[in-house]
Amino acid sequence: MGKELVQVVEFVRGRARGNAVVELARLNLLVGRALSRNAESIPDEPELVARAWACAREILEHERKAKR
Amino acid sequence: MAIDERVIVETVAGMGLAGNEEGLIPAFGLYLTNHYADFYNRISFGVLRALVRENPELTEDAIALLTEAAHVCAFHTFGGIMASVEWDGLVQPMIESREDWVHGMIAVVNAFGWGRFRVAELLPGERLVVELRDSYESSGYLESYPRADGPRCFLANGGMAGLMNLLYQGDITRRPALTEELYREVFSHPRSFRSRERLCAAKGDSHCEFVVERMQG
Repeated sequence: MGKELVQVVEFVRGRARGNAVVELARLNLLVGRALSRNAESIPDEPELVARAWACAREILEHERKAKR
Repeated sequence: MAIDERVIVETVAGMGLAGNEEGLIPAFGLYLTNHYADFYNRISFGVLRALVRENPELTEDAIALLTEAAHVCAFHTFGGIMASVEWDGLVQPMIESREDWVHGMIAVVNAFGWGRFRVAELLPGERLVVELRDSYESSGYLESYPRADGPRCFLANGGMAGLMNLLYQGDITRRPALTEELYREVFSHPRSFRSRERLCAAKGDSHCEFVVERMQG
């Protein structure tokens, strides 16, 4: 249950250069699920996992560009 | 305490601050904006509603982003004001201690008419409690929505954390450049300040109250 989703959350938490709480809030809102709090209990549905990875990369890329 | 709020309010009121043709007020080293509080409220609360419409579980995430916007605003606005020539001329001569920077900034905020802020408690480097009456966020919320189930003064709340972070984490008294790097360093520090709106008129309290403390790290 939620193994991959937990990985997505940890990916964002570990790579956020600013406040990780803010980046995780962005992730939750973009995905539409409270992943940072409930990833472990949400099933790893392929479509949801793919969306979560895409949003995570988008957030970190945006953060990287904004801080140049 | 050397800060004379009455003098600050009267002096700022006499500066004739008004929006130019673009609605901007060039003062205190930055551009303040001249627009209706209800306009800001509509955007802020509308964003909150839109973000959580399909999943109320995301409310705390939406509030986290509105609070982050307030932190950024406080960093640049309060930081800019405290580095301005107006501050140097009007407030700086009254300052005798680091804590006077807080009282001075609160006086300037009151002069701008953003509500009636009052420092109820200030424990140097550790804790700030501020009461706010006539908050435009809480009164604006109640004009458009039923009584809230939680606090709604997101900008004022984040602003109070920003004030403490500028003073005790970023040491604004040394006039650092207000860069993205400094913002990240100050607000991402594990012991930086966060504010909690303990009382809010939008949820039925008589006034709003903010408690600013360091994160536990």
